[in-house]
Amino acid sequence: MSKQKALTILRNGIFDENPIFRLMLGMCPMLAVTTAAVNGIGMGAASMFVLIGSNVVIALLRNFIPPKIRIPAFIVIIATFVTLVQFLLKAYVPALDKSLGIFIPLIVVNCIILGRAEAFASKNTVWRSFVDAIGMGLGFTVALVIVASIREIIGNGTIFDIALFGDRFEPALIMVGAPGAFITLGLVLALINHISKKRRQRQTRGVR
Amino acid sequence: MKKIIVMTIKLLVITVVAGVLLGVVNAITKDPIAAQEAKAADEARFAAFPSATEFEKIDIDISEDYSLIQNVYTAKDASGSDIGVAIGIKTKAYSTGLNMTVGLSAQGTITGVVIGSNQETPGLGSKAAEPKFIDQFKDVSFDTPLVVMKTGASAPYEIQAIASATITSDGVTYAVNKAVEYYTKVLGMGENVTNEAIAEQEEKVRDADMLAAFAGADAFEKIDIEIPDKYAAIKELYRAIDAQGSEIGVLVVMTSKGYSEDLGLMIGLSKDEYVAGLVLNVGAETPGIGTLVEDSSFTDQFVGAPFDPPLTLVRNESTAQTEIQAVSGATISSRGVMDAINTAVGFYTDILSLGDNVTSEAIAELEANAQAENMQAAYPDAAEFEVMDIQIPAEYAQISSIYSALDAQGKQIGILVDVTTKGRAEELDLLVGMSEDGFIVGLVLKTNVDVPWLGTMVEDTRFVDQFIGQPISTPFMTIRSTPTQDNEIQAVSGATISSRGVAYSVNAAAQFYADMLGIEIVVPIATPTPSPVPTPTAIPPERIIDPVDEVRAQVFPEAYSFELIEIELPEHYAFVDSFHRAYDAWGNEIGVIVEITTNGYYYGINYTVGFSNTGVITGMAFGENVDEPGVGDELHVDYFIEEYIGLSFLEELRVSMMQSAPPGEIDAVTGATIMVVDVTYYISEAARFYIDVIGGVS
Repeated sequence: MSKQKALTILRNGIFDENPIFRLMLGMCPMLAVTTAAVNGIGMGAASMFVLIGSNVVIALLRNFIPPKIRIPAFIVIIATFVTLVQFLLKAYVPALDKSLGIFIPLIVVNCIILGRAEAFASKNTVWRSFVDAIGMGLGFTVALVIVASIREIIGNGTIFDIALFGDRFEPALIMVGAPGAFITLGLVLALINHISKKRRQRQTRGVR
Repeated sequence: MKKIIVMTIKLLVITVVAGVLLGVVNAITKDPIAAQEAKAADEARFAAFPSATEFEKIDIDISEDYSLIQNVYTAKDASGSDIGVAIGIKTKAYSTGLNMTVGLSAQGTITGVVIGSNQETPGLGSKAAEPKFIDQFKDVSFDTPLVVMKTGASAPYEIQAIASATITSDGVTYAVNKAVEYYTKVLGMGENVTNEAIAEQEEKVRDADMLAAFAGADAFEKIDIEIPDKYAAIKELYRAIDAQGSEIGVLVVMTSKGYSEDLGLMIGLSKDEYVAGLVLNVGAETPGIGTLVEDSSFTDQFVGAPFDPPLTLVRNESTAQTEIQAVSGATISSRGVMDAINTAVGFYTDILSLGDNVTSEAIAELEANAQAENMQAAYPDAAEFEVMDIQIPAEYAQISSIYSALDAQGKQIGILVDVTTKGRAEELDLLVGMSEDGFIVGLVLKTNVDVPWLGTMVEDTRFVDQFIGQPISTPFMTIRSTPTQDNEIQAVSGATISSRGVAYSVNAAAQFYADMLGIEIVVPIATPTPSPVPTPTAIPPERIIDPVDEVRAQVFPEAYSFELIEIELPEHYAFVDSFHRAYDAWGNEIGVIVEITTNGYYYGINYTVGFSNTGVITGMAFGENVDEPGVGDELHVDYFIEEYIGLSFLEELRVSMMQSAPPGEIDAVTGATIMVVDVTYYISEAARFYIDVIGGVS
């Protein structure tokens, strides 16, 4: 693990350890916000932003925080960071706040942040934690956008708010509702598992 | 120890640093955030009122009727003169609600509507902010209230609803109408907007409403009396006076339960015993549902309606003046309005009887008279009543007072018991008259504020009269079919729970008096203290069950063999398929098993229940269940069946509609309440048959 190169860490976050499709973290916001692809970008960007901050701070403090109280310490740090970001966005970047604002409070309870703090940042250097945050953030964003795009196209007939079909398209509203979130996630997970299983089989065959 | 201290200090350091950081950043960003928010709100106002160059906040108190309104700004043009207002308003919508800004010009047009923070369901409610919808409001004259159309909006005041977001469309349109109403009625579209002016304006609006609620009245004079608890819904009372200065009736200001919020009503009642007018304020009711009753086609039905007979609600075309056609889709609110008017009429008729002498004392006396009248009705032969000074035992807690009934010579001929009972939702108050020779001589239901249409139906004399003349020595049983025995009471269809409540309380009163007189109750509703099953001394033999008895064995784990009871069942026990006696390993009778088939929710269900001779339900099983999936077939679940096991059937089984049932009550299965109530009812009835007819319960 400690010999991983920065690029590998980045790649891991997007593919092999994708928080949504592989680690199954952050399911709650993922089900809630993936009604439109734009939301996916917004939530992904906001999460990455907070993730970078919290990973760096926790990596800095990793030798200061005693292992026994690491969870409360992490939660305090993450919640503080999220609140600070919210204040600053509201005060100085209102445009960004308008598009990301509603996602930020959701991040406090996002287990990806705590998960990465626990699994990575508390054991790695600041630089590696920073890279990990970017990788995980990108992976989360990509996953959200994939699921959200499917839901938006079928459920609303648009992608990034651009209408894809004519007026006669009757959107399947169930897809933007809660059931659509579960259905889409289930199908995407099945597909990804199928592909990676095939790949593994090919690799094993190649070794023989 | 040292470790703990180090950890504590470290965590303290982290939290303190976090706290300080947050405090500092909050202090720094507070003003910029407020400025940004103000700027955003300002931008919304400019978008809603493009021709204005400046806005000035009006510092006013907004009355409760307009609680949706958040703030009001006057819009000024470049020359500084008022050209309209921008109203910030919050509306109920599909999920979280919307903050909107509505611009209204002094020329009488809507200059624009802007939807603020929008957290409605993306793709559905969130479409309210799309220009296609929101631009429909732009530059529309607000002379005519806006209406939402699902299809074919053509006139400017017709707003085309967003497909699949009708509730949000309704919510937005309702809020715009409310803002218009506030601007035209309260602010009077005028300039000098001060709190005093608004209070005055509201007073004016109220006066106008009062006049509208009483056609022909010219002035009103407040009647300053204490309103009895029974009429708590009535808030204020005014004498209506015509142009000649003579009193022509009263105006009642009251509230009533609507669909989600209280409705406010002003009801004019003429001295000539008809409804002189009605003004309705739906307050913050759900737009598109509770607000529908505002329509004049509904309210006009009340105007001119006579006091007697009481108004009734019908769903179809009304055929008489006292029949009110409910607004389709708003039956509950319609009912609320009608009930309020009936209550007001009841109160007025009481007061009318007082003539000019309307005082709090006179009303209290009236109440006392009503009580005396009720008492007389509950015991017609008595000449006088005297409060009986006895301690009421704790087990008769529902009895509130006891009177002895005396004849003209002052000799006691019986008693009168004031007893309360649980109806469907509220308590019912009964007076039961019982003669010394052990008969019920009268029954009067006093105040009944139970759920309209459900609990209130037991007031019907056809129901009440069933009790009169019956001996107190046999407890009453409520049944659903036509009674064949004296002690059977036919429940009011649709009000079974209240019917049972009444019978239950009459039984309690009867038992109390029977105890006093020393009359033996033939079928005691015994206190359920099931004696523990004696532990058999011998080791029980192996349990071999005949396959035909499989289900019976399942519901009665202690039974070893079963025998069909040859018995002719009365007609109203037609739901019972069979009774079997259950025997233990040594051939002792230990209870019965009943097999029941009932209608269920849709297709019908059958079930088997075991009753032990100690008074406990030993088990229950559902047969092949072909009932409606997802509704009736929910009952299969084990936790539901388990609720019955071990319950005493000596007492009536009760179904609880509450979140979690108190011990001894059955928790209704969500979505299958009817089924649970039915199943419980039939089990109770079968248990009674076991106790009363088959016998053998100890």
